[in-house]
Amino acid sequence: MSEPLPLSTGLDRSWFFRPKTFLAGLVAGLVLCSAVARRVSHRGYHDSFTRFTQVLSPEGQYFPTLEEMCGIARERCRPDQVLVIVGGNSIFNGVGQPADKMWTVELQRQLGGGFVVLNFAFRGALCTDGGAVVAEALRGEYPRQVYVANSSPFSPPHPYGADPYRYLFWEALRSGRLEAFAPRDEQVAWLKAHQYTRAELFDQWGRDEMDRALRFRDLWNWVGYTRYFTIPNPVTPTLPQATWARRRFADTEPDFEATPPGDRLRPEFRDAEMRIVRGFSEGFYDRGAGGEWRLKPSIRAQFERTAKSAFPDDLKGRTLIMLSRNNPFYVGLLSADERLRDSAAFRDAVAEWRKAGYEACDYGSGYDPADFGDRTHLSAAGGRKLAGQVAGLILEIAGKRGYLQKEPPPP
Amino acid sequence: MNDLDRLRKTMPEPVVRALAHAGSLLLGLVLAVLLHYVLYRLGLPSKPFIYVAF
Repeated sequence: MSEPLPLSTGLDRSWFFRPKTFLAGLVAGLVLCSAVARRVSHRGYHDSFTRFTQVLSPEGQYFPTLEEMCGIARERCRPDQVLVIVGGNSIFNGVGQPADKMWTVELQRQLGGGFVVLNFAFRGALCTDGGAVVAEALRGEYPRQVYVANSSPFSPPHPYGADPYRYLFWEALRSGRLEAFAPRDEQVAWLKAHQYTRAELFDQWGRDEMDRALRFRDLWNWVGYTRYFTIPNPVTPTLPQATWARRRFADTEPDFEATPPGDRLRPEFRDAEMRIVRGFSEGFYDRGAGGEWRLKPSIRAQFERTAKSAFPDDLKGRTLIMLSRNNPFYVGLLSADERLRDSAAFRDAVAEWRKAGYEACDYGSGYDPADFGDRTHLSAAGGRKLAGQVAGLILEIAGKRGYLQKEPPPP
Repeated sequence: MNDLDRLRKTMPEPVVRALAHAGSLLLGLVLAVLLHYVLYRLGLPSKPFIYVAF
């Protein structure tokens, strides 16, 4: 017969392992990681931020956190300046405009030192994504604030944004950084009930709650940005660039203006582009009794409901929505009747946004084909026109809301 | 392990105890950082977002 085994064996009995000290180390390590993450994210570390490039976005498996984006604002904007956060999609991100010719650089130049313009637009984002969440989270710290984003006519501004940027909305909501706003809460409840399974919701809740406590996204984004990036991604797929700190990648957005205007539009895409241009209005209108184009009541009702819930009431007045028109080259290919419908869509959409309490305008009418790089994105020349128009509207909002007075307005 | 045990016998007991605590603390810290990183990796989507502009 063999000897009976001692009651306790293994690591806990070995002379070099102390379980209680080990646990203390484990807890201390987690607390330390969390503390470092909070500190670096709060004060900001994007010293050469221009915009969220492909390397610094979900396309490159880099998901900027809410606190990281707030840190960028804190790094650049003093409390006595007016914070202008730009959101929206690739058009407002400045696709096709090099960093020094980006439309938001021109906007900053036109607004002057009393304003700080931050481009938080992402490719494929809604006007309620990314920058909108950060703007709301910073409403107390920066009461002098304007949020500007682009959209297309009657594109529903879902208050919870769209994937892959919706993670920022959940992060802000779960950490209590968003205002309580009943119409939005109703929409979020609908979303949870209809678009997620219980398992998905539990998984998401667990991850967000753990991250709230441990701040692992903040810490490892900081490591990836400043030291060493560890996530395989399609934007930098090969070594050694795959592991380079993300700060090493300059903003190298190509310039539409390097291509002559006549060569920018690809003839093989024309049919597809024309379907998109027609899609800006054709599903939303039918004929009225006199044969004129009339906005469908169901579209109006759906838009009213979504726009009402997209931003809290007290923030609507400082939110400027710019509706993006298409390249006049393509609009010119529409029939005269289709052009009437297209114009009606922009006119009615601006009116609907304004009726819901927002500042709204459209841009692109009167632009030349050379102001565009493709169907929808602006060249640097078009960006300058947009910047001029938006600067005027921001100054108007700032004046109306008392931002230009010495004393800050109440949050 | 035998080498470690032999080494231990050459050292006074308070030093052994201090080393054991230091080693356990360090192991805890290292595993905490590793766990922190694993949680970050688990939160990332397995397929990246591909943006197609038309």
